[in-house]
Amino acid sequence: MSRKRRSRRGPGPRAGQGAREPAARPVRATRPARPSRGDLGPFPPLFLSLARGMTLVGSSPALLAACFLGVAAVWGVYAVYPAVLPPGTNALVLLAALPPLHNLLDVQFLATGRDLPPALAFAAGAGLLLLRAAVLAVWAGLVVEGLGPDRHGPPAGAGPRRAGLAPGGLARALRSFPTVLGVEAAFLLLALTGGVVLGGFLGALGQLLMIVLLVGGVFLLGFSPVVAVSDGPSLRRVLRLALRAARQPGPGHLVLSLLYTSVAILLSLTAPGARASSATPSIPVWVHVLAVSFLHLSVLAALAYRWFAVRERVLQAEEGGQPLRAR
Amino acid sequence: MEQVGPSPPSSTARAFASLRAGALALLLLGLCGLGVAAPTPSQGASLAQAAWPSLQGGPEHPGAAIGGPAPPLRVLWRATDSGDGRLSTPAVAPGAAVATAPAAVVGLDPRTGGVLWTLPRTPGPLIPPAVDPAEGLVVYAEGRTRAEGALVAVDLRTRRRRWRVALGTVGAAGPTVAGGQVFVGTREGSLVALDLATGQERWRVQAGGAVDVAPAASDGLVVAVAEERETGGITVLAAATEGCGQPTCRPLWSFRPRRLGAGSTSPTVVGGTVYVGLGDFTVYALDLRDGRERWRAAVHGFFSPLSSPAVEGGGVYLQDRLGGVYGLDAGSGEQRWDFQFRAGATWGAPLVVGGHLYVGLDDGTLAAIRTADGHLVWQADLGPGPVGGLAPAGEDHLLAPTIAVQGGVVALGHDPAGALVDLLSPTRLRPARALANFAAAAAALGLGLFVLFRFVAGRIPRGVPPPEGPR
Repeated sequence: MSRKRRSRRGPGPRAGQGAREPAARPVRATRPARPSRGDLGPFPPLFLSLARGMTLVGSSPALLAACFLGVAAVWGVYAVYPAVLPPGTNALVLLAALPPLHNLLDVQFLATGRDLPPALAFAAGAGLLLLRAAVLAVWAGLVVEGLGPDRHGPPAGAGPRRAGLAPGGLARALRSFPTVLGVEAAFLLLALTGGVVLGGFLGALGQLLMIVLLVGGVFLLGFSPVVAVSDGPSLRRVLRLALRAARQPGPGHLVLSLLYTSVAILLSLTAPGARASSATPSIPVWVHVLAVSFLHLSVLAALAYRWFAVRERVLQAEEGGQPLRAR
Repeated sequence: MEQVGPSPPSSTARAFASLRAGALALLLLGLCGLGVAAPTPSQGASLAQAAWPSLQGGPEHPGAAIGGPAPPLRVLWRATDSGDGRLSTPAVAPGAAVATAPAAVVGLDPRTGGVLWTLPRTPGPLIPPAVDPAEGLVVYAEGRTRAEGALVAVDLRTRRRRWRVALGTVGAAGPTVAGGQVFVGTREGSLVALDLATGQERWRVQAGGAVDVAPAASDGLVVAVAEERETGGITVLAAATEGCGQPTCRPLWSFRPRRLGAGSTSPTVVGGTVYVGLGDFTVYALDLRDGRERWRAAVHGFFSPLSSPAVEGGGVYLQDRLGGVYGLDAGSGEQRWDFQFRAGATWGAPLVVGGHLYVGLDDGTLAAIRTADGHLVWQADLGPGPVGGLAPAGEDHLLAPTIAVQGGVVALGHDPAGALVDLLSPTRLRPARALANFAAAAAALGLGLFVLFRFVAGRIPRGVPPPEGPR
């Protein structure tokens, strides 16, 4: 296959090139990752990414605990906020959604505050932003650490790497917190602007455009939390790298963004007892909410997995000064 | 199925109650003034306890009964007419409870549920009627279209039609009778006053939007709510009951909330204050004299015109269409409690009886909430179909229409053998319970996921495809 041909179709993984990264080991997976097919681009296959993300999160007590505790922490803020109505199941299943979905949820929820002075509403929003950034930094830190040194394949015969995951992930989270906070703020600004302009002035068309905005946000900046943890701390550089990663050839990332946003909205709309709000969620409601939250974190892990698949070429393009628009 | 509901919120609603002492005195004075033989004090008391002349108990819509059965309740009888059994909220006059059916007006014995008489009616929505015990008239709306729409008055004794006035499409919550006049709103945007005895139009106000609510009349003023369907604009307006000396009048005052919306209650006027829930998800208290806002309170939903705030003992109680019930302080608007039901309430209206608030829901549930703390103390399923507005018939009967085929009007009385409950609204946070539920769910789900994915982990490739070289 000619070099030009590979470039257009996406070459897929080649075992011999794993050594380009000093810390990388040759791929020794139980089942080698299949090369990208046809023109799907440089990303790993979609379902392999999702399976890898789910496996990473599901088999890690630290990630599961972080996922559940993060949801509980955000729910705590929602529970004490003087909203007109407590969050229904349809809102709870989006507590752990990726940005900008959870940012839009936060904006809409904060807007339902009951006769709240603007200063207090602003303070609540700022507090929620800090909490969101902390939770997202911890999640991304643990995910990146989970993919960590063996992200290009485990040592032969080795079991899953888990030792030191929590301390390493938390250290990453701590280091990258300011950058993740910036990423969260950027998403919040996007959700706030979109929510006010699209939801407030354009009616039904605005709702449709809001969905486009959500898909666009996940597509263009979906990698940014992971990039912030792995390649921070410059926020500008993080956003540029995330944009470059999103614009890698092939429809894979767009499909993932569309699929994720659609499923997240669908899960929210079809949540059992969605309309009936209960300030005290029952065990079945919590099980449902935490199960969906696990899926959200799995998608974040899948994005991290895909980021590391294109990281080298994105970094080289960035360092080579290639224009951002080039694909 | 034939559309029998009044409007989008549509349909029957009704009310009940006994006249309050002040209203009774005014009524007695009015009767004397009209040269009608005034009842003796004992007869007056009996009348007060037996009458619930229109939506929420009278022209002020207080939604509170002096007497009535306390929960738990049991079904005493169920009355249906010879049609499909759907009946509106009844208006109760001494000796008869009057309700509209899709194509009839029905008089029921309020003690036994027996059908006393049936009159034909041009088919139309189940709009609640109003009775005037002094004149012995029942006033009801008929017709489905603008061309058919009319208001009709029938003599309760002779069952003969006294008058019929074409008005266009009558508002969903029906007419209000007060001071020898009938006040009614139309969806074409008018608030109209008719002479009760003759049906002659005295005046009308162009309200600037559809008037689906039942106007409230008190202290020489009549108050209504108009909604602009196209723009979502809401206007609360007041006019003098005696008009302005011209056929067409301007409102004495009007109040427009800043936000748009749709779905407002009929207004309630008590003690010089207008209480109304508007479609902007807000409850307002306005000064009856000038429409000045006294307070406002945010709620969770919009409202039905068949409902109105119930005011009693320093509290204001409302029921929204999404199943929310609220207890507010009448002086400040501060929310004392709220209760969220799973079913909505399109046809129901809150009724206060002796420290309990009865509410009817769209899933056929009739529930009682303690007004002191907002706890649910009793509920029962009255069968398929929404429960409409309630009407007390004396001190021991409660009449509840169920808006379903063969639903009819259900009479309930106190059940000494019944059981009470004590349930907090699901909107109230119980932190310990919530965290315990969370811990149980997290432990179970976390363990399940961990076992599952440890099992499948070895079957999923763990490596990431190696990085690409530069192109």
